[in-house]
Amino acid sequence: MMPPQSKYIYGIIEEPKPRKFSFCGVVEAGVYTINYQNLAAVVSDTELQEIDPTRRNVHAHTVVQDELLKEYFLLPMGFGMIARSEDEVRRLLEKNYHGLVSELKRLTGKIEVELKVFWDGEAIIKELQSKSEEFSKLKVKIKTASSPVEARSLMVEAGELVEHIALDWKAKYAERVYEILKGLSLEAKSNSLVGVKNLLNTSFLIEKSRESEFKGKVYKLDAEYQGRVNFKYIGPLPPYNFVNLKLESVK
Amino acid sequence: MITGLLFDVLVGVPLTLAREILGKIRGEIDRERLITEDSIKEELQQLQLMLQDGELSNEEYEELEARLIERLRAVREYQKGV
Repeated sequence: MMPPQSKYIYGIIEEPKPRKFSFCGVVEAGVYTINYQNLAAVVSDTELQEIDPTRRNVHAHTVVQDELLKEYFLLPMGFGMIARSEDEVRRLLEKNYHGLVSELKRLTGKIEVELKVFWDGEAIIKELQSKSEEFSKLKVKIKTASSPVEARSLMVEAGELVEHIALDWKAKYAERVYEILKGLSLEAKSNSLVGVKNLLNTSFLIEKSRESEFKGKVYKLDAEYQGRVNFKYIGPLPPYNFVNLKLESVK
Repeated sequence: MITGLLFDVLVGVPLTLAREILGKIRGEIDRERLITEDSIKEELQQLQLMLQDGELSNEEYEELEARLIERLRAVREYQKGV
């Protein structure tokens, strides 16, 4: 007998009837629902126990979620959620039914947006050259250093000056941005930073109806700080970071 | 890592921050420093940002992604055995 086929899960929607969708999912598989009462898990079949988080696969995952959002409100799953069988998916819905229904209700009409702020490399150097005497002195010392070891250690000193400015900008710009946008959102969350230039990595939960207002504020702040820090804004997204539900395990 | 960026300014050797970061990621893969799933996923995110910013070519991205995924599989395999 064939083993029961694994199901890759994209998210949960409110839908009492089984459906097959016209778009494709991860690894080009067909997307359909597994239903329990008024809820449905949106899934596709996979032979794999784990899906690699390549750009291509992650893109396929978000394409499905974007398509679903056109028609439904979606409780999104993060990338890579796999159940071992159709039965396991159904039990997941059954065991968590009330929690899922109330989260769907709470989050309907709301979206997530993401904002990252990075320092600009050229701007930091300019700032160093214009403001810091220490930096000019270091520069001379490095050029006249007697050995590579000495030069290297002076460079580390210079690196600390850069970090000092980055920290200053974090407080002056990034944290200010966070406080202002937090005030316009229902919930805000600070995520871990990505890479050396990253000063702020945040997610906001906002009313869908207030998206353009929120975006307007982001653009305004971006213009205000242009040339020093760079903004990256992504949205609307399903509220990945704001689902308050610990799923009961069915395994 | 920031010393690479400063090198450019101070000594006039063309070495940019992006190249320095790439070098660091390559080094970490080669020396098998990445031993958790999270650290590998973090590097993938960093590479995707660099690709978006044009600091990395598509080919370079694909090559590094493939190596990181290979590393991720090895880490997962190892964890299953523990």
